[in-house]
Amino acid sequence: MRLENETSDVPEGGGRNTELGIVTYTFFFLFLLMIGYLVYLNVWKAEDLNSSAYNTKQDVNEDKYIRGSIVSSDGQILAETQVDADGTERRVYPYANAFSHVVGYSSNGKSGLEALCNNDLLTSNASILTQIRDENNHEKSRGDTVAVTLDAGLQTAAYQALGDYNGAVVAMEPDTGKILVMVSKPDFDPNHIEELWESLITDSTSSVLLNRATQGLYPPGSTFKILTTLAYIRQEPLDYRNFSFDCTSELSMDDVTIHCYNNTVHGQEDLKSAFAHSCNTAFAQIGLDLDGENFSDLAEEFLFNDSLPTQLQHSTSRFVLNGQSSYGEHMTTAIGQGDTLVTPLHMALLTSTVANGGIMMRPYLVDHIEAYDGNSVSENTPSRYKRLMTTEEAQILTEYMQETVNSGTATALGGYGYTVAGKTGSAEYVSDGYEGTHSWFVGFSNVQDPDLVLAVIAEDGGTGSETAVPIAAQIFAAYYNS
Amino acid sequence: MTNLIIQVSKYLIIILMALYTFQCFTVFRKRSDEDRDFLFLRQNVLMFFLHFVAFTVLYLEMGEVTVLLFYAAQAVYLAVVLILYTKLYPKASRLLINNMCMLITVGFIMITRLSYDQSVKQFQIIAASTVVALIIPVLIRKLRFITKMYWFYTLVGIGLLALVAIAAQSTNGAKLSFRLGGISLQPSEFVKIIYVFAIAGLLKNARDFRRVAIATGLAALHVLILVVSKDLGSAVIFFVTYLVVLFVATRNPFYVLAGILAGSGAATGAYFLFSHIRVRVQAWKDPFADYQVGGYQISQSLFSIAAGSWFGTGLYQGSPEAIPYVEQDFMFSAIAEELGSIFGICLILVCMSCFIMFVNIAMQLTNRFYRLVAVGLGATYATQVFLTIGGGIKLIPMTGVTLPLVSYGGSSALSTLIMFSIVQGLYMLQRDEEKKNERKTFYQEDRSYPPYGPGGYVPDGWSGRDQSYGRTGYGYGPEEYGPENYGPQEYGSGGYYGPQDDPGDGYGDEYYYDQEEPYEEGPDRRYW
Repeated sequence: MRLENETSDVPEGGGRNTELGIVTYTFFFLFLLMIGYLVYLNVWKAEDLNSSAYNTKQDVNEDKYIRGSIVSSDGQILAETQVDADGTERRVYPYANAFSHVVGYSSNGKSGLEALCNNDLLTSNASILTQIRDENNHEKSRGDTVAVTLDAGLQTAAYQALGDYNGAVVAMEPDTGKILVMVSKPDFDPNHIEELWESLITDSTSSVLLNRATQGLYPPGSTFKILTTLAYIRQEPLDYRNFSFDCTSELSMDDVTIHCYNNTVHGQEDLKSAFAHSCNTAFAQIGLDLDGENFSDLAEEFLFNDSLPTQLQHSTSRFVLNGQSSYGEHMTTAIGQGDTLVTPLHMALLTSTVANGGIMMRPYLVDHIEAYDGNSVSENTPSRYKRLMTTEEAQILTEYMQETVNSGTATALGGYGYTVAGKTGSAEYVSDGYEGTHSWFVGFSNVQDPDLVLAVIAEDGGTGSETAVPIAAQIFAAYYNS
Repeated sequence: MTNLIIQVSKYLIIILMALYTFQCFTVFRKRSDEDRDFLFLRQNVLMFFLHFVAFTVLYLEMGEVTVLLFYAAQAVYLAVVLILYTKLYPKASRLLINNMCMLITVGFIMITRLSYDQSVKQFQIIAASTVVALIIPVLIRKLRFITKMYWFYTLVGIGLLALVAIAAQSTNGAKLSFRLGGISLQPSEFVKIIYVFAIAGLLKNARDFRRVAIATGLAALHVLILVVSKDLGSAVIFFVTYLVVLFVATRNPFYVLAGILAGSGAATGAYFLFSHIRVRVQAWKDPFADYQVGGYQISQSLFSIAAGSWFGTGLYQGSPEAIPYVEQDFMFSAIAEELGSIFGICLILVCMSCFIMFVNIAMQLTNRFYRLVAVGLGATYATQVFLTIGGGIKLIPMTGVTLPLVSYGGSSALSTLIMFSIVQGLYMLQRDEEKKNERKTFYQEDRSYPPYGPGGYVPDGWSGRDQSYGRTGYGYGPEEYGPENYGPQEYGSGGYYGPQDDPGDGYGDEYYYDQEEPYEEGPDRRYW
C-alpha cells in the first residue's frame, strides 16, 4: 500500500513551525484567560455570589450546622439560635424591634446582617477536635459568630430617642467607618416574623420591611448645603470669604420664588452666617452662580447617582443638574430640594468625610468573625475609600457647621461637655397631596478630634431644630454618659 | 472521625493533583530518559493515590461495599490501560497516556459522586471504548491510504450531520442524538474526527485560492448544518478547527482574519435570527436578570464555584446537583465546588498539557496531511475545553458541550479516546520515520550503499510490509548497529527480517522496535 510521494514539504530554512507556534500561543492565551477568570471569580466575585438572594446553597448547611450568633461590639447578643431539648431550633432576637432592620430576619427569606453574613453564620470554623467531638455526640456543630460594630447601648438610646417618628438614625465613627447605630422605623419584631409576615408584606403604605437608613430616599433639604458650600468654595476659592448677601426672605428668578423657612428675614450676611442660619435665599443665589456641570460632577464625586462603598444593600442617591437646567432647578437644587434624593447612610458618610478631614472611610458593620469555640476566623479593618476634599476644605466646613451650633439652627446642642458641629435640614415634601417637612440633622461631636457622626431623619418632623436636633442631643448624651 | 478524614483528604487531593500537574510541565526540563520515565511513573503513583483517597471518601459517605468493588474495577482498568498502552506501544507519548488516564480518573470520581448508576454505565462505555482506542494507533500506522480519502470523509461527515439535522430526536431544543438499541449516539462527536481528516485532506495541498475556496465551502456546510440542528457548541468547534487548520496549511493570516470577520458576522446574524442564541447571550450578560428561565443554570454554576472557593467543600459536602445537566455540561463547576478552584486550575492545566502535546506532535510530523490532522484534533480538543469551562465560569456564553473524558457521555468519551489514540498513532509514525531518517543519513554518509529503492527515498513508504528490508541488504547487520545488540547471535543469522519471517501481517515493525529498546537510549529519543 505504498502511496505516491506525498510531499513532506517541509519549507526551507527555519521557522517551519512558526504557524504552529502561533496556534499554540493563541490557545495558551485562552487557557490562561480561563484560569484568570476563575481567579477573578474567587477573589472578587465569590462574596457577592455567596450572599446573592438567589443563592440557596447555604440552606443545605442548615441541616449541618446550627446558625451562628450575631453579637454587638459591647458584647450583647443580637441574634442567636436556641436549641430545645428535643432538637428544635429557634432563632431569638433579644433586642426585638430595636435592631429589626439592621440585624434582619432569617426565615421567610433573609434580610440585614442575617442575609449579608448568611454564609459565615452557616459555616463552622471550629477546630477539627471540636467538630469531631460534636460528631461523636451526634450534635450539630455551631456556625461561626459574627461580631458586629453596632453598639447595643447606643442603638437602644437612638431607638428610644427617635420615639414615635418614622425615620432613621445612622451613627458611625468618622475615622474608621464603623457603623455604631442603624435604626429604622417603623419596625417589626423579628422574633415573630413568621406570624407577622402576611401583614408586613400586604401593608403597602408604610413599607415596614424597608431599611430606611440604607434604602430610604429622602430630599436632603438644607443638610445638602454642606455640598453646595463646598461647590461654591471650589468655584470661588479667593472670593468666597467676601460673599455677601442681603436676605429679604425671598428670591425670585423667572417664575420660581425661593423663601426662607417661616419667611424669616436674615438681613445682611456672609457665607458662614448664611450657612449657620440655613438661609435659603442666599443659597438659591449661590445656586444661580454655580456652574451646573461642575456642581453635578462634585455631587457625583460624592457618590450621588452611584453606589456607596459598602456591601450593605442600599439605594442609590440621586442628583440631577446639568448645563441645560433652568434657574429654578439651580435654586432648588442648591438648597437640597429639587430632584435630589439621598439615603440617611449617605448623609452620614458625607458628614463623616468632613469630620475625618476630607477622607471618606468605607462604612462597615462586621467587625470580625470567630468560631464559636473562640478561634478567630477573619477580621475587618478600617479602610479608606478616597480623599474627597482637602483638609482645608474640611476645616472650613467644620467651622461653618460649628457656627450652626454656636449661633445658628442647632444651638440646642451647645453647652454640653463636648463640642458639636452640625447642620439641620427641613426637607419639604409632597406625598399624595399632603405637604410635609422632614426633620434632618447631620453632625459630629468633639470637633477637635471627632468621635461620633450622626445622621438623623424624622419623617414629617417639621424643622430640623424642632425634632431632629433634640433626638441627636439625646444620642450624643447617651454616647458620652455611658 | 469521618469528618476529619473528609477534611484532610480534601487538601490531600489538591496536593496530589497539583504535584501531578506540576510534573506535566517539568517533564520538558528533564534531559535523560531515566529521569523522564521515573517522572511518568511518579505521575502514575500520584494518580492512583488520588483515586484511592477520593474513593475512600466516597465510600465513607455512601457506606456501600459496592463502591469498593467499583473502585477496584476502576483501579484495575487504569492499571491495565497504562500497562497495555506502554507495552503495546512503547513509543507512544507517555505524557499523553498519563493525562488521558488522569482525566478519566477525575471523571470517574466526580460522576460516581454525582450519580452512581451513571458512573457504572460510563465505566462500561469507557472500558469498551478503550479497546477500540487501543487498535487505532495500529490502523494509523498501517493504513496509509487514509490520507487519500478526504472526499469520502467529507461526504460521510456532511451526510451524518444532515441525518442528525433531519431525523434526530431533539433534547432541549437541540437535535443531537439517535437511540440505537438503548444506547444514545451523538454522531457529531464522531463527525468531529472525520471532519478533521476531511479538511486536512482538502487543505494539505492548498496553494491556490480555488482549493481553499472549495475547502471553505465544505467546512461552512458542516457548520451550517450544525447551526440548523441548534448544536451551537459543535458549530463553534468545527468553525475554530477549520480556521486553525486553514492557517497552518496556508500560513496566510488574511484567511484567518477573513474567517473571523465572517464568523463574527454570522454570529451576529444568528443572534438576531435565533431566539435560543439570544437567551444564552442574555443569560451570559446577566444571569440574574432572567434567573428563573435562561439564567438559572449559569447562576447555579457560579454559586457552585463561589461555594467551593479555593479548596472546595470536599466530596459530598457541596450541592453541585443543583446545576441542571451538571454531569454533562457543568462538570467543571461541580469539580470546582467540591474539589476546589485550585484543583480546577490544575485540571485546566492538564487539559492544556494535552493540547501542547497534540501540537508538539504536529510540529514533529513532516507529512502535511498528518500534521494538519494532529493540529486539527488539537484545536478541536482545546476549543471544546474552552467552550465548556469558559461557559461554566461565565467567561463566554454557555454552549453545552462536554468536558472531554471527564464529563458523562458515551459518545464524547469514545470519540475523545479515539482522538487521543489517533494522535498517538501519528506520534509513533513519526518516530518510525525518524529512525528511518537516521538510517538514511547514515547511508548517505557511507557511500558504499546504493540509494534506497527505485526512484529514490520515499518518506511515506516505510511500513512493516516493506519486503525489501532483508532482501536488499539494508538489514541490521553488525556493521550498522554493532554486534552486541543486533548481531546475528540475537536474531538469528540475519534472516529474521527477511521475507520468509515477516509474512507482511503488518506487525513486524512493532515487534522489531520492541526488541530494539536498548537502541532507544540513543539521541533519537528527543521527544517522548
